[in-house]
Amino acid sequence: MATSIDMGAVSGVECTFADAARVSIAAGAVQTQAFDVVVIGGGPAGMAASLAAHKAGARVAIVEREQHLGGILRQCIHPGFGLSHFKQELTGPEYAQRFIDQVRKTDIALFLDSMVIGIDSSEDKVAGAGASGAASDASAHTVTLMSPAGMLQLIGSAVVLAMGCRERTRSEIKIPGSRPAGVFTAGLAQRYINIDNLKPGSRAVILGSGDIGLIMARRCTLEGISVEGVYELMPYANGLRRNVKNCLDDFGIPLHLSTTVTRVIGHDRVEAVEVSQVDENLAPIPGTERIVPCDTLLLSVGLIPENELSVGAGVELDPRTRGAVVDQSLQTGVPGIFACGNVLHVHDLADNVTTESERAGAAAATYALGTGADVETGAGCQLTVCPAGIAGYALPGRITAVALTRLNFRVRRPVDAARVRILADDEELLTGKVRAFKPSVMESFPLPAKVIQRALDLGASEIILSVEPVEEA
Amino acid sequence: MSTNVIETLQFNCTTCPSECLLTVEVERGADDRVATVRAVTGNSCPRGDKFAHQELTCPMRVLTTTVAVSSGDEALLPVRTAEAIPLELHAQTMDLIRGLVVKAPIRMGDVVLPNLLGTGTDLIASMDIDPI
Amino acid sequence: MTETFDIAIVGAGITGCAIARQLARYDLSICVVEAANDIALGASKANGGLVHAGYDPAPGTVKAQVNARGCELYGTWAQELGFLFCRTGSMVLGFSDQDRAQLEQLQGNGLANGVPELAIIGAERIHELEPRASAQATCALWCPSTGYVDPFEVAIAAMENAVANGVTFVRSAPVETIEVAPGAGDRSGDGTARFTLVTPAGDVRCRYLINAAGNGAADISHMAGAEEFQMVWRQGNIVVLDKEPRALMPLYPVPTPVSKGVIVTGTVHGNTVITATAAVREAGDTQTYAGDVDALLSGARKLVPDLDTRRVVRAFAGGRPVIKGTNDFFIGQSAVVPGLFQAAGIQSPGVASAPAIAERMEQVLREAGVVLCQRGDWNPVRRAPDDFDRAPLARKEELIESDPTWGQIVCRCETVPEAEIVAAIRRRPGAVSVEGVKRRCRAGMGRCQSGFCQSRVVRILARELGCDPSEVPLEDDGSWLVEGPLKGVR
Repeated sequence: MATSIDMGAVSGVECTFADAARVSIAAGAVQTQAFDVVVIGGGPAGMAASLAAHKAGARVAIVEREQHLGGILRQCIHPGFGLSHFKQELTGPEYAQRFIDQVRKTDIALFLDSMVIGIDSSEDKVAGAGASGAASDASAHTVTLMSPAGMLQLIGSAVVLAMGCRERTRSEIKIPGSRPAGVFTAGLAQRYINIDNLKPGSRAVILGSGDIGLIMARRCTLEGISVEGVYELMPYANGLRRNVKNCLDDFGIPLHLSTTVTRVIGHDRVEAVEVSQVDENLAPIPGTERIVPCDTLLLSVGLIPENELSVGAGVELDPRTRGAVVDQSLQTGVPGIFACGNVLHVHDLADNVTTESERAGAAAATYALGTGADVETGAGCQLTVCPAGIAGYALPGRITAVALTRLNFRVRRPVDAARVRILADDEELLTGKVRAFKPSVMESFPLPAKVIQRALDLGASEIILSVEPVEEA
Repeated sequence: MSTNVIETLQFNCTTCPSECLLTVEVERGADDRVATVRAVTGNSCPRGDKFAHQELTCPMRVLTTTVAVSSGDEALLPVRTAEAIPLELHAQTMDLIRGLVVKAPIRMGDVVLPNLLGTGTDLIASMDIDPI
Repeated sequence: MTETFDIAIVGAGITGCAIARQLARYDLSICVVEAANDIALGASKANGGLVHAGYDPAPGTVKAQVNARGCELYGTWAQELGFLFCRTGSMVLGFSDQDRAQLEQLQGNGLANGVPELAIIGAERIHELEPRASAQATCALWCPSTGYVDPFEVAIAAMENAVANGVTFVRSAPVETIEVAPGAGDRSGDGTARFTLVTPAGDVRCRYLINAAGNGAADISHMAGAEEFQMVWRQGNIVVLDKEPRALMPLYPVPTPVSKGVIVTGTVHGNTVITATAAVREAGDTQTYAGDVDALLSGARKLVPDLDTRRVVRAFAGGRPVIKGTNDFFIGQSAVVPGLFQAAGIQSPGVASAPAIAERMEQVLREAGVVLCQRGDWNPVRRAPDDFDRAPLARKEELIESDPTWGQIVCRCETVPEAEIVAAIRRRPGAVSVEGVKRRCRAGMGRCQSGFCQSRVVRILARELGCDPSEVPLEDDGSWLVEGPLKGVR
């Protein structure tokens, strides 16, 4: 019955497991199918990447854990999508449905209700197994998935990671107090209300003025759940201005800045929360505590790219974005594995996810089909990109080609006047216009090929993207 | 006439992602309602001007919510008003559709309720719902 | 309940469950009465899960006697009951000569308490054993017999085995009063009840009563008219961090007079646990405190400097059931009320000691004249339920083939399919709450803390229990999650 397993590090370690069946044995005859590009995730990122890869001539598969395509957009029933991509204001489901309809018109293979449990990129898994057989030099990736139909392995010459993100939890921001029912992440409450037809409470406090928190304030109000207030740790609202206006101001919901929840109160169900004002170091100020009676606490306190699969596949993460370190073609450190959308960095708008993912999909197809121009690689271009000033991150983190590259970043705090500076070896290569920056906006800054070439000419190994506040406005 | 008060308001235009901060000079009548919009600045396109006028006379919003579904593979259908409707009608619309049940299959764009509250705007489906 | 049980055990914590499992081998009718709606909802779920080796208690104490023995028994218990147990060994890290003197004293304790293979080791060996241990550590007490478990899994497994052997489990039955029939106790076995436990779930009558009520032990003793003692709520905050590629070996600081200090340990599923603060607080306080959590994180970094303390999956707190005026366990027959047996003050190292406490309780009963006849049909083995995430690929395929819902993942973080959740609900005793499901099969235990799966688990519970989603609790009775439908209703 019991089995002792040596845990590796310590001699004599005994680990007792329940039965021998748990001891790992080599995979049996799991069925396999081969594709040029395997896209993991069928949300806005995965669908856009798939369509772009398909358009480039690749044989594409999408693996989606839900029974429908669309991802989180299915529960984002509010408007505000598509303004840049479709030049028209759509709801989340409408935005998704347009892509679903496009995907359905292609021969992209859909694996729905399917959960990827591992990506194996080991060299011996062998090369040239892609559907088109073109990328014979490249090692293929084995994506193991499971569904009610059984286990399956997809062999992909390229893989696009498009798994999205998850919400930061109460534990991660360490809200003290008791642990009753009624504390929900905003997205979970959104699912209860918009998908499951269940009312998660009657009287809510919302912590965090990110877009999901603001949207949920309106949704709750419309559905008869009174919202006592939205509380925000920072001295400014974190969401888009339109959402503050349309979700709070329209309904007279107060927004309390520089205030946070310092205690959850209630034994079985939330009975109240204690809120406190915070100082400039974001520490609660003693004596400012206030008890707000409520039965529900919604948390909209940030999103975290969900990269457990990526890490398992050997992909290096950027501690700032908690997404993969990628190059200008959105390729990760593992050749043939690309990343896009919220699994790469948390975006502000779905439209931007679409644009980025189209690039990733096209690049993955190019890689898989071996149609890339040879001049791009091997030119000795190896630059890292680092954020500085008030830039919280810079993406891509690596530049390996001398070509126009869009740098994405977000600032860590709002400023009325600042400018982007591009530096290499202490030389300023480029500066942007002085303007306002907000943390809620994902910025995009074009880096011309000649600037990259200049950095190389200087012998630099690093390009710095610095956002620097300007004193006189 | 001279009892009217002149006031300067600031709010963001929400027509596009630029979210221009508008500065609007208005004249309020004796009933405290905005009688005239005197000047709009801060907009970077003509849509901002139009938005400010609309916002101060009768703010219009697209309403999005859900409707119960029978015999579908989802419990709820996301719906929207095809166009913006007066904000003041949103609560009434919610009451109207609380008990409503629509039967699957449903296609995006299907009309769920025509001419909502006499606005001339339809309530339409936001997504496909397949039958079970 | 009209039946008179031979034995009623109050409390389905790890102590009560272990005792029930131990006694189920005898020809006795046994009932476990639990105040909460599930097993292990008190101190048993709110601790670090360490199976301490037993060098800590002062020689001669009851703790000293049951701790090392309990730790020894864990290997057999894990095999028979099918729970995960990792005997990794541990180190108490010393940073100075003064610490070294303390380590030698601990080693002496350990020798006296019968702890095997203790050794004082130097820096090189420390980092061989746990490369992530602080480079500042110059000496350590190496203790190969230390291990860890999920403490609630131990309690659940023991109770499942007890129930499979005929023990009755009554949940949501807080004891309100205890009626004690006059007389000097029933040693003849003539079938008359001596104790009647009055609970909202009905009266439970028994000849012998075992008090394993954890933090409620003083109340039970008082209700029965037995020893008067007071409990001290020595509260501890605990933090769980996300999984590591390799679980950490338990690392202890040099202990203080009241606690073992902030310990860093791996768990059977590869998470890291930081346990625990110790502060006397108002009884029943299970709140976490900002100061405590900070103390845990900074304490942990002293032992493991590279620990990424941002990756907090969960912070929680519990109260150690400490008897005022003693730091020891109280295991024995009441001197005031014969027929009442106490297992009280089972604070740390309660988890490590549980199998030995059960053994000792059996001995106490025997000495008190309780007739213990071994049953012929007793089955010591509880087969572990299938754990999809840990199952090899071939077994995964087999499971999905047997039932497609094994292929329907509900909890992404821990890879828990629907069938595994259904199995957790259908076990005896099964889960009746979202947290009960979590403790049995880990759905909702992961980094997203049920953000993705909670609504699905609620639906599955409602379907399996035949109730409305609004009746599904998060944890104990009354912890409702949702009110009811929003749409399609007038």
